[in-house]
Amino acid sequence: MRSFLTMLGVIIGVASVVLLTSIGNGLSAFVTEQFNELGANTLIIFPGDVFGEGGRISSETTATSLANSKLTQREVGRLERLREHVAEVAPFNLQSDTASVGKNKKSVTILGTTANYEQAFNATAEKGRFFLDSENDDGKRVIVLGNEIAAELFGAVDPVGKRVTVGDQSYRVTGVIEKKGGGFGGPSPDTYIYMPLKTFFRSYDTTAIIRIIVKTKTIERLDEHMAAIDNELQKSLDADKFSVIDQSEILGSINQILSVLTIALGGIASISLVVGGIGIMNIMLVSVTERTREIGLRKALGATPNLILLQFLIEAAILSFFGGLIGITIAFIGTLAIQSFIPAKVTLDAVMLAFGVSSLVGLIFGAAPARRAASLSPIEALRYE
Amino acid sequence: MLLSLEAVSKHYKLGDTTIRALDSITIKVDRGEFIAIMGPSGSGKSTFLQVASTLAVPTKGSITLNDREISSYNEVERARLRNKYIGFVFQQFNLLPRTSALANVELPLIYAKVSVSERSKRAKAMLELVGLGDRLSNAPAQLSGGQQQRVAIARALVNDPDLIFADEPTGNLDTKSGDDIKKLLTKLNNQGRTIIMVTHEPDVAEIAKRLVLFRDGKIVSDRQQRKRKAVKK
Repeated sequence: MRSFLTMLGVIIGVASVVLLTSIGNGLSAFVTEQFNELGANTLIIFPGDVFGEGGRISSETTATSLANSKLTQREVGRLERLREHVAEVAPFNLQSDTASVGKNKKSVTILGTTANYEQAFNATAEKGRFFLDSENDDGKRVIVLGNEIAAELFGAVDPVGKRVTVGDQSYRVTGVIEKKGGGFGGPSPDTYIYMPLKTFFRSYDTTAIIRIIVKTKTIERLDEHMAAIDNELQKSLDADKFSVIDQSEILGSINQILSVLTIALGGIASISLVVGGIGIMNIMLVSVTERTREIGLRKALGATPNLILLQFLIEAAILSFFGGLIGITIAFIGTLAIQSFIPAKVTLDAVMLAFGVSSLVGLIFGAAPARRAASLSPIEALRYE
Repeated sequence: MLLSLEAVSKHYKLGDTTIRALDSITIKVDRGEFIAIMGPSGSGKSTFLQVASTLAVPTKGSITLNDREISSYNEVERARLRNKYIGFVFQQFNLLPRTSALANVELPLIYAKVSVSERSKRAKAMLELVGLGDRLSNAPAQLSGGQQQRVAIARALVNDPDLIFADEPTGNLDTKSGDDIKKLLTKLNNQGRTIIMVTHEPDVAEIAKRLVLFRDGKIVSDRQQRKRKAVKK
């Protein structure tokens, strides 16, 4: 019982270190995976100067620049004509609205885009089809549903060909996109309703585009393609009205934030490891006092001071070792438990680190009591009541 | 000669005064002897036991064990020497709690780096010798005082020491158990074991062949007991 209480500090310390780093690592792996799904040749054009001074994502400029985006259909058209650099261009804008089928009403995000979106985002239709270029050009009232929103609106019924009321207009469903999952902690693409951009402009009385996704012709000459695109856009826009960003930049920034976060959280958690170590030292000091006679006896029977030192060090190390073991088990269980909310992943190096540190804590904090035990005089110790 | 102390003194400093716990003691012990040490409290008999058994270091004088000068040994050397040549029996038994009789007896063999199987074989043999062959796995709390002391004696014997020091071995026992221990010690001495025993009970001292009296840190009497009294059945 007392051993368990002693280990508790180490258990909590190790569990929190492993758990927090696994959350950090899991998020980072998840983000990387999401970006890789887009393909390495994907560029994203943001309105405004996203990477402000110092190359960091500035949320303030991003927010304001979204509201007065200078990106329009004109820029999209010009990019489409850069045939030797650009393979695919998919602009989009977002709008919150309500969608209803009969009495079933939901708040949704409407994503207005062109037919190219299907290629650029691998948005393959599971039922029916994505809307066509011609439907976009004509501003037809058609929509494609994300997997989740389709289920929410229609249940088991096949939505293809059915009608959905978005805002106060009625639209025909041409298809449902297969499940994509994810969504960077924001809304998942499975909850979006996709609408032809021209229809979107008409319905929401706007001409703004908040993102242009560009797939370049090659991956190898990415820098060259970026320069050409940048150049083309500068013909009509000031350099601070747009940003061309490749994934590695975004990925780099996000991972930088995540790793700082992971280290900070891990650091806080490791404080509890130190506290756990002090707990071990405390209990070992008590143990040495309680077992003074035993130490005296062992010395009388031929134990050298080093053997006594070793005995108490090993006891402290075993305490923290098992504490570490239990802590890691708890972290594993915890990771499994939160996996449905956060993409946490226990990594081997986090486990090794926590394990090593906890054993080390045992040795360091066990050293002082062990040395005290080793230096006891056998006569004094045997006489101790 | 097994053990020899030449003009051995042990002084303690207590504040400004120096206490001469042992004052130039000279004594020789041969193999096979059974010596009882008696004396009032503060006479130096316990200090003598500590110094002679290398638990304490003398202030002055020379101690030889098996013709080797050991008074200048350091702590590690003394620990090894105790492990190999000396067995201890304490008044308080000093068994490890929550540890089986067998494991208690094995303890000195661990420090002697004896293999696991050899350890348990020898410990078992010693427990059988002291009549506890059927109590191997009992913890001290499950044994009577006399049985505990017999476990302690088995532990003192297990490394086959040249010399056994017993400090009031019957001091914590009732008369019946005390008699058992007296019988056991007599039997061991008859088998050739050398025993030095501190006691303040005259009837316990009677089982020894030689009686040494201490007073004020000095030996005041040292004689063979003509008639060694047999312990009553």
